[in-house]
Amino acid sequence: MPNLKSIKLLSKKELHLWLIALGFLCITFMPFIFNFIWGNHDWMPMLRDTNFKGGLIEGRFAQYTFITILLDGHILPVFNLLFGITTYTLAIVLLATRFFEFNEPFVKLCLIILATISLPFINEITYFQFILFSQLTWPLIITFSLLFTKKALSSHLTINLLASTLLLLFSIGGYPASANLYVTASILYLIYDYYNKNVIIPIIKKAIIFLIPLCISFAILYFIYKHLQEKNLMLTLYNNQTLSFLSFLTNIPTTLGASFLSLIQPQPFFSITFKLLTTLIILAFVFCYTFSLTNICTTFFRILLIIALFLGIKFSALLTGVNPSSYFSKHDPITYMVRADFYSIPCLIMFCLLFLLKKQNQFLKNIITLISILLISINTLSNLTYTKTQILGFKAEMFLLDRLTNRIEEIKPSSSRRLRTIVQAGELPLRSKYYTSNKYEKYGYYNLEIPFIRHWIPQEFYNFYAPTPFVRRGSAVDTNNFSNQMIDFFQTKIQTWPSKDSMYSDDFYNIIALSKTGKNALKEQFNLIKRKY
Amino acid sequence: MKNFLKKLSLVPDKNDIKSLIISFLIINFTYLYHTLNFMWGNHDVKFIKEELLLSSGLFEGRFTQFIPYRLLTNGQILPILNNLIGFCFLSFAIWLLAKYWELKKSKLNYILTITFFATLPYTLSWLYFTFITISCLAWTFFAILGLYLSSKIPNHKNKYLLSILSILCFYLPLGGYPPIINTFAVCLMGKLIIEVLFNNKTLKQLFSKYKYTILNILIATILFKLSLYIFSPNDVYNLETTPLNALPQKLISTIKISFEQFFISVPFMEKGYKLTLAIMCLIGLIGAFFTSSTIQQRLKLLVLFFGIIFATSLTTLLVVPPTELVSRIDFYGIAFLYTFFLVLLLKLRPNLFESLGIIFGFIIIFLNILNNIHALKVWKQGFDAEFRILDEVIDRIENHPSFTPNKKYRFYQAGDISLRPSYYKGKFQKDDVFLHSLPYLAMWQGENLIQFYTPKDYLQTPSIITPSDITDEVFNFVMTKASPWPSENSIFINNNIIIIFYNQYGLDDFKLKLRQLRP
Repeated sequence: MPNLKSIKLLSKKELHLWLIALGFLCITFMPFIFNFIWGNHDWMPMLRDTNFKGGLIEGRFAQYTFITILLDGHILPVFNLLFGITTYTLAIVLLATRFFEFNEPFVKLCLIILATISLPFINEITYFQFILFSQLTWPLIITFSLLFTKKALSSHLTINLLASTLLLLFSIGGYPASANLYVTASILYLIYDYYNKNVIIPIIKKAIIFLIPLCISFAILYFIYKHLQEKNLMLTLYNNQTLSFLSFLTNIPTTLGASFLSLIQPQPFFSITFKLLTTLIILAFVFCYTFSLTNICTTFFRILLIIALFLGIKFSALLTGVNPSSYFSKHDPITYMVRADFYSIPCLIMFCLLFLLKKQNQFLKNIITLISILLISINTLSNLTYTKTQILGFKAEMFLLDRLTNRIEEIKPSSSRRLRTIVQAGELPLRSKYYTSNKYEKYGYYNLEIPFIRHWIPQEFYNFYAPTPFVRRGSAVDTNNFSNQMIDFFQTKIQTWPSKDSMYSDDFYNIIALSKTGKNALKEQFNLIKRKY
Repeated sequence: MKNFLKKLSLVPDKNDIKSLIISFLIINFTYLYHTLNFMWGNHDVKFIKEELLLSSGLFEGRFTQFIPYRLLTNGQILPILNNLIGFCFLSFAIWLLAKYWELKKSKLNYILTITFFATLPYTLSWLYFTFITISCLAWTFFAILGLYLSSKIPNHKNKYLLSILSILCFYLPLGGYPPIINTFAVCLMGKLIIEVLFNNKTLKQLFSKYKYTILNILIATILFKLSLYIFSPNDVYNLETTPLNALPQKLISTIKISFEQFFISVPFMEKGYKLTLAIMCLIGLIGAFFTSSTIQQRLKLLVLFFGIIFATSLTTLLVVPPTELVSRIDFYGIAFLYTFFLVLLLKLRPNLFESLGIIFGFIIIFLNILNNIHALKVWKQGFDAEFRILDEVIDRIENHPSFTPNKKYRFYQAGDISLRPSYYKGKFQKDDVFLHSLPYLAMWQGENLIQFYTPKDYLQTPSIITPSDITDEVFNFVMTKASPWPSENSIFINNNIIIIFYNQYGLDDFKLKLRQLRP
């Protein structure tokens, strides 16, 4: 029987830090923990649970591992988010205490950890229930991967690197952008190491060791993607397109520029004050780190490391090849993607604060403590504003769904047993109605802009509350079914919701022009078909 | 700074911190259902969507009302935080009060006192309007801090600084919610009783020690009046003060009310509960007289006890609108009186009184929690039911044959629907609107409510029906066809206006208005 007391997973300090961080996030997200609000991809998983193989279509083979093992694939209230923030807070504590090995006084460390875990990047992660648990758990898996790599620097190189690679592969197999954390934390480790030791060659050696799991895991991921595509299990989507090597090189200056710009670009729930404060923290770190000494050669190498860091925080953007004119490039560009930044910026900010706190300057220490407190309050206000927006927006869209259903039900088809096709043209996202935005804010796609009811999955939300399903899969009109009334609707009558002429109904179809864009798209498509036939 | 606070014994020690944390947790548990379910009152509709400005309260002379919101939440009404910040202020306020009333320092005493006050259903009434929850709970903290600092002036070397600070502490809450004067008066009277009973102070000694408190309150009141003059608020009902010639008559009725309030039941504070509280007060009173040694002391106590009971209704005496037995006014008055009697019992010797205090404390806290959770169940059901009706109303409007969404209609809501009472079967002698019967779908918020959840805004704001809108068609419909919700004829829509008739009272009232507009 091994001596259980000798197996000390967490020190008392770490345990306290973890519990405080967990409690703090629990309070912030209490309405989400105890009430169900789900995103627009969640309708089916909410009803039918998640499918272990469900992520393969995007190449995300590990996406549902945790939810399958721990929650039997169910999306459960309380547990889903609670488990997620439990692992996330542990990851941040371990990064600070074990990976970077900052050993600051408890209160100061605790404040910085609270400021980190509450950063509003986490909000976007809470939008989708079906991936929430895994998205919040990847930081812990990557932290373990980083710890194994760190251990490989001193002992059992092969076995530790193997463990690190497998963990990293597991994480990027669930969400490739989670590699941002591995890259950012590794570069920060090297930066800190070089700051303490000031010798170049060992740093390069260490960098190579950190690169090994990254390269191998991405190489394996590439082959897995290939295999899945060959087996027709995976589609090439906007979020799994990669660049050629040449494009990768040309992408570097663009990404670097965007990396700097994204730090100051206000976004919904990331106010100008927040952006300025976090940029100030990062710049203070860069300044103290780069210009705190000695000779030109060292300064130059430090500048190189800082450039690598700014590329590292946008590592996923560096690798991804999305057509710049595509819908997602315009609305949710990868360099401003909050859910990708979730894996890099919190780690960076935490490191910067801890680094500055280590400086032998009492005034600076006091300022950092004050900044941490300020950041906690700004973060909490942002997170709760997001919570309010989600609650009210969700309720408003559910009321809208209710009224749309009422309108559909008012026009009774000749056969009540027949499944019908609903063509919902356009969308009415309502969360933004409850958010006072600043005119400089941009890119709040998942945080604010997209609706809970998406036009291309009408069967999922119209059937959700119906006693028996009445909507069939698909949202297109068969050209053979064009009736004179339908043609009349498209050509002359069509108006936007809530006008009474915003809906066409017959025994097979309900066509709804929910927004002006939707109405125009419907008319355009109809004219196209008319010209074709 | 720390030294300054330490000298004033304002830095909580370990014992205080533990008491505060435990009390804070119990308070939050009591109102957890409210904290988790984001509900808001009928004044909040616009503020929930937008934000509170410093000037938002000026029209009714509440010029400091939104300072806490601007400073603490950037003017936002936020779920979770609204209650947490409010309860935090409240916990500190009662902790300070326990110190002011010289309650024997023990974890149990402090926890009992803080939890007792904060869980009284009077606190719940401040959760109805989310746009003033933080401020109105914070005012108790400032008021008690003002009293506490004023009481320290005689023995402090920096009298001016303390005076300025305490005047500010009195001025801030007065500018936010003037009925706070009840708190000033009740807590000060409580302190005087304690000085007479436990420290055997003479009238002269009392005056010499508490002249600063009275002076500071007076200065703050004068400043408040001056501020009102400068900000010149609108002519609103809640700023009407009792004329001097009506004061004698009002004085008698106020005295009557201040004694009656111990026995009149209100929603969620039913007969048995009120009697339990009254018995606790009576035992406290008996205990005080039992403990006092001389006739002179008893006479002083008699006057002071009369004063403290009367002080709970000070606002009722001074203002024209009826404020008697209104839970949120009583929060600043009788709630403090009940707490005073609990503190008194906990302070009294022999130990029998202290034991009784502890027993009463536990029993009443338990009853408070039950009452609050019961009330919150009723609130949630009423809130959901009323908003479901709102959704049906919107549905009916949007499906109406005369409705065109591209227009900007003027809107009139005749009457309102209050559904919280439908879910409450308790018995009470006097209704309390904030705890029980105020509708979420208030008549005067009609257009804001309709547009709260709709994707498209098709109503004008502000939406005022003009005489030109009253065409023959409108007049005839209202006079002959219109009937209350959910009748088919409960909604009228033409090219310019939308009218919804929620109840018969609203319909009759609207008919009366029409007759005045078109005799």
